[in-house]
Amino acid sequence: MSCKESENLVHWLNNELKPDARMALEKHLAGCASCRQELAVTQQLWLELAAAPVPEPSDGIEKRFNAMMDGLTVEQEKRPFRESIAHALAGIFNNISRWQLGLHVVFLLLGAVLAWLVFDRNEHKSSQQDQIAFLSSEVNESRQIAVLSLLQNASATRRIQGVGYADKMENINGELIDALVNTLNNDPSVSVRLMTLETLARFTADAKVRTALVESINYQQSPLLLAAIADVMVRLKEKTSRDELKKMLEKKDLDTVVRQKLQQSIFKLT
Amino acid sequence: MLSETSHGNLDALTDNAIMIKIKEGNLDGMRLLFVRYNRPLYGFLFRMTNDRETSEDIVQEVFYRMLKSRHTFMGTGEFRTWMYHLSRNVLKDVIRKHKKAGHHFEMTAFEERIDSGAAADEKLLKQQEAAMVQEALGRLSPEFREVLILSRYQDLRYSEIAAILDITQGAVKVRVHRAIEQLKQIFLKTAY
Repeated sequence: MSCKESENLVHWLNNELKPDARMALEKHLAGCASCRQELAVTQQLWLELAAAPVPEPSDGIEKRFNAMMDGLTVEQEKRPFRESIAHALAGIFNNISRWQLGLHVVFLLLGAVLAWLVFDRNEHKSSQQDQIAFLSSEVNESRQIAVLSLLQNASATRRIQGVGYADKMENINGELIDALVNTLNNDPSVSVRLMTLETLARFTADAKVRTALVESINYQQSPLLLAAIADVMVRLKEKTSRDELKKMLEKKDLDTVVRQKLQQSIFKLT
Repeated sequence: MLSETSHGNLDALTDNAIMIKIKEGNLDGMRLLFVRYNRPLYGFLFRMTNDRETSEDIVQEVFYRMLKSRHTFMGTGEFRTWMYHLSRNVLKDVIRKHKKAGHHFEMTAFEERIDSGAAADEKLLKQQEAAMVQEALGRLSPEFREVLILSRYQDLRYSEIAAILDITQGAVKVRVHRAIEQLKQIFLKTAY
């Protein structure tokens, strides 16, 4: 990270920038591939934070509060808090202990199975390798299903999460490529499209992806996306994209920074 | 005890207006504030401590202290700012006591945090991510963890966080930026 502007990326995601700072950053992003990449990373991280949900509190939390409120008088208020709720606590404690004990037993059994798998590995090495290969392909398949489902979600956050999963995959199949290209071209959120572009750019060994990226230039209205696609094209040395990029230059309302960016990209691809 | 009608009237009031009523002696107003805020407060505390029982204890203690020190609520700032400010003080006390006793908070099994209704494949992915995120958050320094939790999970504006932490908005911005950078480094080391 080298630009001073990158310090504002998280505040941009947090919607904590004043309008002028926001516009300045967006303009900078249109012309700076490194900051766009940094934005994608920060955004992904920001979303991943949401992946750690808080467990439900026990029923006791409400019971204890109600017990306190029900018993509240001026005199009781003066008494130590813990004393006033000791009775309620005692009732809850029994339930929690039994529940926790059950959980410990489950973990103990899981640990035993895991230990057996680990220590018995020499004898079953080859069959384990088969199992691992089978499991990895299963995980990959599960991931694909999850991504397809998330990309259909009405929430932009969930769609970005889906793209994030795809980004972690080693390879993607035709159905998933179609879904990602569709997201790149039609998703209402610029952030989702931007991240999808970065993900698809990882799979450009597949000719289908390369073609789709070139064709996608036509669909993009956002200066950020255009600049980012131009960068990807230069990175891939994809000369077939020149015509599409030139078509974009014909647009009169094109942002000046983006126009310069496209011109530079076309020059580099010539 | 409030009648249903009077509770209904309170329901439409802002947090600050309810707190003023509590200050005037209508203590049952705290029931409504509990309904509004026990989950967000518990969420904040759970993410700070990673301990369910401790978080529940502190929620209870915070509501108790808000009742006890209701006369100190001036109504000039937001109620929730006051509540988080107070909960930080209680949390500090609890951590100090645990340290003194040589305890440390145990990591709750992350599987428990997963919504049991989710599809199995998505659940697996969620479990892996939740574990990584929780681990990464746990490795942040407390002041960075706190500012990220307040802005990311508690939906608080920087101005509110500044009031809770007794620092300037500029300092909040710097802290959030540094926290996210530290988190990136942790993720790079653990996740990839």
